[in-house]
Amino acid sequence: MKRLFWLAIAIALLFAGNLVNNNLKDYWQDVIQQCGIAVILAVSLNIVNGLTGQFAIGHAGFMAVGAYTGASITYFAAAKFAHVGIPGPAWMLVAMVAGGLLAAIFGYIVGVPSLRLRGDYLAIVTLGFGEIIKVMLENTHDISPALDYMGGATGFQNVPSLSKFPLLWGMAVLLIILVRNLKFSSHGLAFMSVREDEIAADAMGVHTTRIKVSAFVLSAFFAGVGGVLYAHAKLIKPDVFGFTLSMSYVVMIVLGGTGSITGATMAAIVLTALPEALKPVRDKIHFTDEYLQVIYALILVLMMILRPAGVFGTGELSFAWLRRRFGRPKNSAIETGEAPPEFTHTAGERKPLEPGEPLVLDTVHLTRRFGGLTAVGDVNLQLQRGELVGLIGPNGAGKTTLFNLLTGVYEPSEGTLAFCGSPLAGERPLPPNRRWLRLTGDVLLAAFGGWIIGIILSTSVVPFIDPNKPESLHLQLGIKWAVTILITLWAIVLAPRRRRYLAGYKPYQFAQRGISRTFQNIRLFGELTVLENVRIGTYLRRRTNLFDALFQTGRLKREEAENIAKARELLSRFNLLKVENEQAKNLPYGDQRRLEIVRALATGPRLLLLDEPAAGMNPQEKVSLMGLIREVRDDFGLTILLIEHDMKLVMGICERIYVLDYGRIIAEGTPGEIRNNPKVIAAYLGEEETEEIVQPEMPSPPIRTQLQPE
Amino acid sequence: MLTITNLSVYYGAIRALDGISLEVKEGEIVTMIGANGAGKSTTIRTISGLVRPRSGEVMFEGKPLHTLPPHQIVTLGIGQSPEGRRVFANMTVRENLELGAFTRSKHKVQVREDMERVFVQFPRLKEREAQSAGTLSGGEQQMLAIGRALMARPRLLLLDEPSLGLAPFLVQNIFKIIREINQQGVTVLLVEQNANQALRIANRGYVLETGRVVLADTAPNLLKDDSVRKAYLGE
Repeated sequence: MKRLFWLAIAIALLFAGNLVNNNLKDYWQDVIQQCGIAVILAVSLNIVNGLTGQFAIGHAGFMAVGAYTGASITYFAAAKFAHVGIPGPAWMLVAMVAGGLLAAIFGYIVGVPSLRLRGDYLAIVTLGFGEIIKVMLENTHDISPALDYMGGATGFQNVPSLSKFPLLWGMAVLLIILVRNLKFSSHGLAFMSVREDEIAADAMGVHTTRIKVSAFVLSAFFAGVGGVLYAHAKLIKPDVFGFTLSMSYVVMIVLGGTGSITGATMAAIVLTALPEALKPVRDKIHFTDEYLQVIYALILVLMMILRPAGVFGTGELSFAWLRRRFGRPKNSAIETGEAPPEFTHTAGERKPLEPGEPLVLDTVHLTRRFGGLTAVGDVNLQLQRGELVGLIGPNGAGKTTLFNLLTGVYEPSEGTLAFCGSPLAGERPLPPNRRWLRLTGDVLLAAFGGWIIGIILSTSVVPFIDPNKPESLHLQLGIKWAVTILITLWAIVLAPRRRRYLAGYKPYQFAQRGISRTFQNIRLFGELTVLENVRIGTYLRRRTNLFDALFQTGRLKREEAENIAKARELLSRFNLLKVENEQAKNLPYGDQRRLEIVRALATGPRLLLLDEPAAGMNPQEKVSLMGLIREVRDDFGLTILLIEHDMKLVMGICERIYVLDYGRIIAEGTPGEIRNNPKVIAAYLGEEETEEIVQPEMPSPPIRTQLQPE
Repeated sequence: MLTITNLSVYYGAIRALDGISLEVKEGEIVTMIGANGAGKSTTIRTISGLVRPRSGEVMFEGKPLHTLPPHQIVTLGIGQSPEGRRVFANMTVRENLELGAFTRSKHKVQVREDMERVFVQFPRLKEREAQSAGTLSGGEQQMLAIGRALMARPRLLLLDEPSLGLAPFLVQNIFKIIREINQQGVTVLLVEQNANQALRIANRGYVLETGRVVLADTAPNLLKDDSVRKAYLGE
């Protein structure tokens, strides 16, 4: 109902705008059109550069792909189907879908190889892509004479002017709404988690490569649509879609605030319209466009110094913000959500151990070497469901490395790791469909490469042969095809043996299967709020997809409500609900540690790995944390392995302890056995350890776990 | 030596310090204890210039610190081992230590002597001398952060949770080292969750609660104080 109301308002506004627009001078109609296109391009680029934190600088390339595709469709449609009477706007829709899709396909091809890697590869690749598209469009005749209608460097003539105000601005508004929907859903949070901390995002079960590629493809799609609209508004020439245009969109989002939709929108409008609005003044003082470039550069430099996050940062101009800023708050419950729900035991599945139940964690000879250094060597670790086990050892003994092995950050050099009875570490063959896809791709690539090499070789013999004899032509052809075929055959034989055809389990897959962790040097998503951090944890167990997020479907709303309730329930349990809307980076150290535990719990783990959970807490806080860890273990039916240097805590809550020194387990046993083990005292506890160990008054767990006989 | 009066610090809208005043005299070990979020780290960060106060002042030997940028504060003789280590991950252990002595890199011989001393105090660092700091374990990075702070030969050393992430016998060691450093003439302002140990080596202590000083006394008195024992010593 509410949605219909807003839709009606939007349509009314569009028509009112159209009415006003039609009565303006042509010049201003043109400016308004340009603003709309800039908004579409800037907002779509912001999906990649702002939300996901990547750096793409070839947006005009995708725009060009869309523009030429769309223009081709309407160009031919107008000629061939004029008599059938299908109206232009209908073809425009087809053109937009086709232009968007083709741009998206290009986005996928460009994105997949460059987004696997972290760093600036994307910037370089997109920059190159933009230039390649431009050059290709300039030389359409050389590619194929059939493309001559595109006009090469002179531009694509006779494209019908179909980018009317309602369509153009309707698309712009639609895009803004879609991206807004995405940004505030947990899918959007997953995008932002990649921006904040890729390693932590991975550990929370976010498939970072897939997220980055999705963002990039989505962004390319909308750039393509924007290109189609541009093509039906102005003459399209290849040199329009150059580096300058790409950069102008980057400038818009940098000024507006990378990550802010309203910021990008406003910057797009201001930077497009302002120079035009000032035209009468500029003409008087002979202030040409060249000077304008200087002004832009200056503004950008000033922005970087004074407000590097852009005018809006990642925030949004919203009704809620306006209310906070200028009026009395409507109702705080709307902003903070409803009262926290009563805690219910969501996963109270603590069943008694069955005989023959597989171990939760079982490692055999687990080893990891770095160069010549064995960081973890020959570790055999067995955890039964429901156990709370400690891992102690001197600094540098390999405890954190072991955690990284157990969560897929490192692959073991040797040994195996089984989780709940199924192997997790080590390499396995790719699933057959992906294997075939990869094989086909590799063979095609080899054939193409072979063909090129063949051409080069066959031309290099030219100086040595007599061009007038027919045999020499045969020789050339023979060399070319022989080389092509040989290289292709070589690829077919060799490809399946390559490492590419094997896959290791990635950290996000460990998380999906139920291993979650906290980090020794806290890795929260600092810019995001406490609640958002926990919601990213719940993202892993989602049942909705990206399209649900874009279009705010009913099931997405239900799921978000559930997830938020679950997140707040967990937060209230760890006494963090009162700071749910603070940025995570502003919490004190100890609270950040507890937030990491909450975030890990939100992924719904079966095994929880805690890396120094009590570091930075005072004794009193440690005691309450100990209680919480136990409680959580019991209520959620978890198995917990924890690294901690506070012996009071470790000895107080752990039922069993492993001691690691120089990468090897030197002792294993109950706290009492460990405390008196001379090896452990020598390597770790120190002789002066005099502090008495206080057994806190905690209810003993309902089920005593029995150690399996070794 | 160091006088803080009426210091208030905000992070955005959140008030971290609510008008605290404290004093560190030459040659002392002074410790701040308090719960998480009480404002201990913020105080340290304000002294070293990483955070700007909204009001109040920080005076070091009569000179105001709250208007100086961090790199000038270091040259006045204030060294810091920040919470969360922050070592230069892509440099070797040795380079990290050399950078610690950056402000007096002219005195080559002295710097070398100081480095040897750090290696004696933390033999583990000597073992890893040529390794890049990012490959060290968390506890080793902690040692490096402290060693790096010492390399500047500060007259006032700010230590934020030096025992964080260290194995038990190293924790005992670290407190011994702090006392040694102090006996060599370095004044120390120490933030520690391990309040028990901190108060044993300190001369005086301040108890912070939600950005205010609620108790200030000599360390032995604080160790005896019932409310302190209950709240911060875990008894």
